[in-house]
Amino acid sequence: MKKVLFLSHGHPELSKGGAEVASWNLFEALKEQGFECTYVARTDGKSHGGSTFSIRAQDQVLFHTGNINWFNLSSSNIKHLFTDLGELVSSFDPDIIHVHHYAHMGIEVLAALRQAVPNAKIVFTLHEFMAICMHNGQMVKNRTLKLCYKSNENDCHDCYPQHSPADHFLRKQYLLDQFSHVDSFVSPSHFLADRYIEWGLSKDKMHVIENVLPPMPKLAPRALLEGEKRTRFAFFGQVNPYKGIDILLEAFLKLPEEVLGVVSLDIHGANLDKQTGELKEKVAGILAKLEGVVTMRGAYESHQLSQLLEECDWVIIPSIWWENSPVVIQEAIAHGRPLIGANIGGMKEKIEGIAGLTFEARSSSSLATKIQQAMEPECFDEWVGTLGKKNDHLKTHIKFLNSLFVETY
Amino acid sequence: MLKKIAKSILGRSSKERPPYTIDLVTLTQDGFTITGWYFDSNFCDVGVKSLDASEAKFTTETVERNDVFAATGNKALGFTLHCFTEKKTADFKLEFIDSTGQKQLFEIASSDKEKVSSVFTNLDTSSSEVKVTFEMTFYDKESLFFSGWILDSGNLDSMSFEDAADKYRIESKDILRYTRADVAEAFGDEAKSTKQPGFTFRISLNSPLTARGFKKLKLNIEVDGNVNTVSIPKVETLDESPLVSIQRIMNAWKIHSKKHRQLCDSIIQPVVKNIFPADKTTRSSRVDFGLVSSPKASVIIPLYGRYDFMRYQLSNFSRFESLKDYEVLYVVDDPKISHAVWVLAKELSTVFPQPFSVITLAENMGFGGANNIGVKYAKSDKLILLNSDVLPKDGNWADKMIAQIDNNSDVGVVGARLLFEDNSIQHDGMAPMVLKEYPELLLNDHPNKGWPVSLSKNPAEVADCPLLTAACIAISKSLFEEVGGFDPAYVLGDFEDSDLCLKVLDAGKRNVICRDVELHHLERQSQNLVAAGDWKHKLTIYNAIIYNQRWSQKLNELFDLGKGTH
Repeated sequence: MKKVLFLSHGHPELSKGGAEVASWNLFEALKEQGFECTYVARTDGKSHGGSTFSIRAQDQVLFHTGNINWFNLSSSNIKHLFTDLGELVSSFDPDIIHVHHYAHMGIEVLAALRQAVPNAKIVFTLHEFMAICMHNGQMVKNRTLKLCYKSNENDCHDCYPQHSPADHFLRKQYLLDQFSHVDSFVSPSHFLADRYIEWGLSKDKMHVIENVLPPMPKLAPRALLEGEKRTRFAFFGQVNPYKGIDILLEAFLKLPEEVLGVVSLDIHGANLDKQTGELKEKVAGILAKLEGVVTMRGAYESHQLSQLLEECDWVIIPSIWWENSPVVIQEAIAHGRPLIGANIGGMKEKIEGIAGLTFEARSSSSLATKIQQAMEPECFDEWVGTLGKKNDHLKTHIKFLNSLFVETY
Repeated sequence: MLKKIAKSILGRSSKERPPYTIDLVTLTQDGFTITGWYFDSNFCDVGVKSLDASEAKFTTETVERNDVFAATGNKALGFTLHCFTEKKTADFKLEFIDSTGQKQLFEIASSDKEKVSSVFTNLDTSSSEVKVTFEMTFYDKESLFFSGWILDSGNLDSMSFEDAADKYRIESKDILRYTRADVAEAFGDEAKSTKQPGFTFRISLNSPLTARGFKKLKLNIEVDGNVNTVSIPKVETLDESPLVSIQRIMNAWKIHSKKHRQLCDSIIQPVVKNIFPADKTTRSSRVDFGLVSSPKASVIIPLYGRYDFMRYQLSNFSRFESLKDYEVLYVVDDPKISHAVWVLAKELSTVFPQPFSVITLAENMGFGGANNIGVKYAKSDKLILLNSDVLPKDGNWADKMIAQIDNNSDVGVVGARLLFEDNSIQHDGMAPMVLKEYPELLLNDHPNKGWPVSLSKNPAEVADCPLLTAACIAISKSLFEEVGGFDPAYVLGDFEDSDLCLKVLDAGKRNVICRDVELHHLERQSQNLVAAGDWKHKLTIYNAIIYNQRWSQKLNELFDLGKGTH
């Protein structure tokens, strides 16, 4: 049986980031397909008896490590990586190691894996721009939040003046050195892949393969009353400065009075309370003005997703950063719900001409215009029709993995 | 000196005792320098703050003050703070930061002014009132070094000194004089007739002072024919940190005056030589993290201050396997970081396959000294001397450089093309240059620095090049030792590389640069750590003077100089 080891910076049952969810979905899908899989997820907190590992199931190991240097992403927990993880991995002896992150573990984890199983293929899935951009991997300028197109030692120094241009250079070279242990990179979007190739990763090693989703029911469009329009909009995701929640709310403020009377927006997302004062106050201020239109529905579990999507007509993704391939886009498409997204990066790539409308990124008035356009049932019907075409990303992925096996044997 | 410190601190009750001590405030061409110290337990950082809320531009350098520790039993940090400003010291306050981040402001100017205007000796003279202060007196067994100020209206004839055996007399022409804005400010009209109150001079002793002579040092000052005897308040021996001593000496030396530069060899050099003795040795020890049995060459990399460069270099060497068959020797030229280097080295030896060794020095030896010691440990008969802030681009740089030595018996030093992080030229071979500020001195220029490589007229191939930076050179060990290695007369890393290159030429070899070998050199990264204030610039000029004493004639022949200046 072919053996695949997954390594993620978090377990999706403990931390619901895009990378965790995407790696988990693939883990489940490959098991289903007959691969022998082990999922290793890094976690915070102490383990029993001080051991480096604990488990959540026989095939799910928690890796207790942390404290990395967030400048060069290096770890000082060399024993955790090279001895403890190394022994565990070489004992499982995988054919393929599917790494989904180095955050919290340290970029040296790649060298540790390579040492542990010199003949295994290391596949690394890119989920954001963390190696390229110190600003939480967003490629958005620090302080001004302007979009950033390319890393450059001097520009990075402008964003992070505490590190000299030469230090930014060293950081990049170091990460490129560590990435040299990777056999193949997977990027869920062309946009992300291109940024990384431009930054220095080898084009030959890059494979653009969409994230794999679990099977999802295709929903029928919401039944309309006589003369009713497609007025129910929804937002799914974290509430943080990069997700553009303020742009979204401002767009609703700009809708004409008579439209405001009929539309609704449900915000399914957590963490507004964790945001800084400015964003929190701004959002609270607008929410007060949009009473009766916007409902804060809070966090949701994945099993609730279908039901929540069923209630809406359109999903809006207004992020001010590039995004990669947001899982919510694929989920909306699978469920038969069209989207309105910002016309940049991964959103543009995944939505424009495929799954709905795009608006001028960061422009609330442009979004307001698109919302009114989307309300028309003809527009909705047209995009729902387009969503019918289905891509089997799992098949693509398995084909890719099998190609690695061919190289191995 | 220890007693003095103990008295000055312990004599005061803790209430009136300020939590810091200022040893010296000196005005410089571009601002002022404050030298002093504070207890570790009180503060963790020091700076200056402008009273008009504009941003103060300053650099600070700290060293452990073992003398204060010995006197008080408390750990103290000495600091030299240089503020770049055209304003007066009274326009600033000292800002101390404690470990909780709390900031406290203290006056700088008042203490300074008091110092200038209250502690002086009035001399009896026929003409006018003369005031004199000796601020700094160093004794190093071979000589006495004095600096201070005197309001003599230009009438000083000589300073003389007498001990049991000998009489010494220093004529006015052999005394360095300079302006002192602080003195002019403190004495107003009274100081107007003295353009240059500051003085620096040195007495070369035939025999060491007796204990009594050292304790009760007196000087005869002759002004306008009248001789006055003055007691020297405080004679220091050079037993404090060399970095502190050198900064204080440099403060009393004004490099923009031609006379100051001309008298460098008789006044400044002898004292500096005793602070950084040429025959200085130190204990060293080597720890191996993996071994290469018969290395193609030994790569010697001094570490000073920033040791994280090791991570980036070993990562790079490992990725490209450029030094797989080479011996890599890190020389830790900074006892403060020895332990941290050892901890990091252990980590890195697990992460990276590149074998390397760490040589720890008990004392800071400077760039040249550290390399010289590293060479002694080298197993190979070929060397590559590399800076820690050099990051190669590929895997064959070392082989290419060593091949030049292997294939050409007449080749001495082999250099490479070095690039900044933005891929512009950092070093493409050096050439002598003259600056109009120091017209008699040949300095090292890096032609085309900062240029895109595409604009360089030098093709990417091996070419003769007499002068190369030691940031990255290859040389055979026997040749390096034959010419005596890096000369320790150059203090803290300037000119010893071009000096080495010229010695090698004198030994009948030619030097080459491999412009087909490109490495990144993140210049100034490691040097920044010692570049506080203008004392470092003065040290460059100090080293330049030694360099020119030795090589100006040869350089003129080699480069056919004698034309215009830059």
